[in-house]
Amino acid sequence: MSRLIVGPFNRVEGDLEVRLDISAGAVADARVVSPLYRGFEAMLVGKPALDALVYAPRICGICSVSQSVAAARALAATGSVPLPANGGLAVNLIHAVENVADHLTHFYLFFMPDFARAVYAGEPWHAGAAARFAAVRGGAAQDFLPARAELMNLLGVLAGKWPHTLAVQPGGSTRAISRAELARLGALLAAFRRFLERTLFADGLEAVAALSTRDALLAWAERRAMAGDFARFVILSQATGLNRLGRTDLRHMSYGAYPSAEGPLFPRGVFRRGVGSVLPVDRITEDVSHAWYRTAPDDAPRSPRDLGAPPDAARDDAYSWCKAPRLDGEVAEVGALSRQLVAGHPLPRDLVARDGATVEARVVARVLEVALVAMAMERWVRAIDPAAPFIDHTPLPTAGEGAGLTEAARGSLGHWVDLEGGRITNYQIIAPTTWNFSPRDAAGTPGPLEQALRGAPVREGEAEPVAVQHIVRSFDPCMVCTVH
Amino acid sequence: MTAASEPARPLRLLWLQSGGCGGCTLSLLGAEKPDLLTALAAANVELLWHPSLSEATGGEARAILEAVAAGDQPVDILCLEGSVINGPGGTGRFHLMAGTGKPMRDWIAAIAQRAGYIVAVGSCAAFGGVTAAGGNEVEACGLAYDGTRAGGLLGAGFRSPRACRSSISPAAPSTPAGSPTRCCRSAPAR
Ligand code: SF4
Repeated sequence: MSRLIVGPFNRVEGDLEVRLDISAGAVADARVVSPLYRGFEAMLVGKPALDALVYAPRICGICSVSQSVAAARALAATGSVPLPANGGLAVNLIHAVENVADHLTHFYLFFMPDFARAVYAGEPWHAGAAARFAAVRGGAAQDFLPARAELMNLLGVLAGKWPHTLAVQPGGSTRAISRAELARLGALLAAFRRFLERTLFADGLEAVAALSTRDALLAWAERRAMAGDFARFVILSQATGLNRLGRTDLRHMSYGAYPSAEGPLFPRGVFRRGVGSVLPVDRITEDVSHAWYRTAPDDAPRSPRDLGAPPDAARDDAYSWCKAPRLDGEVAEVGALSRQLVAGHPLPRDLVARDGATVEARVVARVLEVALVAMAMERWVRAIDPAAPFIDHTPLPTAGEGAGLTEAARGSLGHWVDLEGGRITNYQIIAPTTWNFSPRDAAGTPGPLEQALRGAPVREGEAEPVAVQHIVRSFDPCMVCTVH
Repeated sequence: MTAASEPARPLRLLWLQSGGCGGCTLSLLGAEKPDLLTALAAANVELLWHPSLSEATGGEARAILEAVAAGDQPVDILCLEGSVINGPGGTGRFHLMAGTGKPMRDWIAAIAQRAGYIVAVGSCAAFGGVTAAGGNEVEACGLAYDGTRAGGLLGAGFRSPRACRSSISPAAPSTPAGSPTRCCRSAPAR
């Protein structure tokens, strides 16, 4: 048995350390360390209710809109603030721009560059993969960054700025959109569709959304003959066996995403081993048995409706600032894969039925979701009525409690708030990567990444095993959200 | 500043992150006309290491940072994103740099002694920013300011080897005005 400490683990959002016990050429055990604590929950106590909209987005610069949406919904839920149809559409659009940008940033800048690593130099595909995907130097990043910047112009119109907009409010969006601006949004979305259909898919979005099995996906990728970056990924995934790497067999959870009067684009629920069920939101707790926080006198996990545990850096039996959220006492995985499994898309369901939740399934679900959401964004722009209101100004109550649940790019994000006398008395946040990168709980059960890393192959002499890098990055971790 | 008129040696840029949200980097990725990679090439800037962009990870990244801190690897520009974290009780344990068990504050302090120019990107790195809000539980400060007071990690009298104090630029937005991607732009309170 030998020990490896991988850190700073980069091309994740924020700082990360992964401790590995290695035995017989594979990971025997893993501990995931979130090394940064900033204390947003303590910071918010005593502040006026609406200050949450200023502070919460600054938890995270990559999913700041998700934080704004969760905060706005939690505040709205303390009373009964109506949401006009336009407000819902505008907030969905703002949120969707961030989410698809995040999925693509992960794909192009964080995940794909690992195929350019020297460890793969002997593979017949390496030269091509390195020319296309190498960090900073590769052609793909140079194609992607201008397209990403152009996509972000939607947020200039809809949200004023990004990250950390104040446009998202409990009653909708502060930014009314004129007819001329709607035309501009439509044109920007057309440009984005072009980038996706030319560079990412080399095919129509509708054709990608219709892929329904792993066999169909492989055949589609072969037909593209390495045209399009998604087909390149599918072929590289086949060549490196990513459908056998980073496997978990856990409950998948989604809070549901992009609500509307007709119901959410992706529904709320739980999915495990082919069976969907209702999500018992009130059965969510956080355990701090292995995290640097003071444990409760009875050692019981806490509901996010209760005050959070204060930090305690001196505990030797803990190893992370990340708490361990549990659903009904069990580990749950979250993210684009979980969201699409709950939503019932046939492609991720087939991938997981065959191989389990793997590196391949997580990446495929993320890229598939880009196509699904881009098409929905076009519908939302068409549905906006520039003559109708975008926001309702009903004031918040001075006292009450509320939960704001949404889906960030990386999975389920929840904010829980208590108000008294117009001020915040408790604010608790459970972020997607808090679920995925959770440490062990009191029963000793490891979190999803810790489970996914067990059995990962380690080559002779590897200090930063490439399999471990693929697995860790397949979750698209956001460490600044994880601890906050 | 174009590549053609510059000496052949590129300017080596090292970017570090501590008590912040990563939004300064994400804002930088939104650079337009030209895009970020073109802008870096035009300015003849080479990324020595960036937490979100570079291939090097783990021991590879530690080796770069150790060489810089020891003075073996020259660095022209140090960018810090996020505040310097001193808590709890001055120990810096609220951010131990991954893989090293050493406070990130101490890494920043050591590397700052070696950099030609130092840029505090965003209001967190300049003043402590949002991370220092509320009761400042984590004892966050900026590189050259602690809130509105001169000082911070480097001290009021600090000068980087190739720059006057003013190069410790407070809260420069990473992308130009007019671009929709901007992080926390804030002016000093005095
Ligand atoms: S200055 Fe703003 S965008 Fe930059 S790290 Fe701090 S909170 Fe995030």
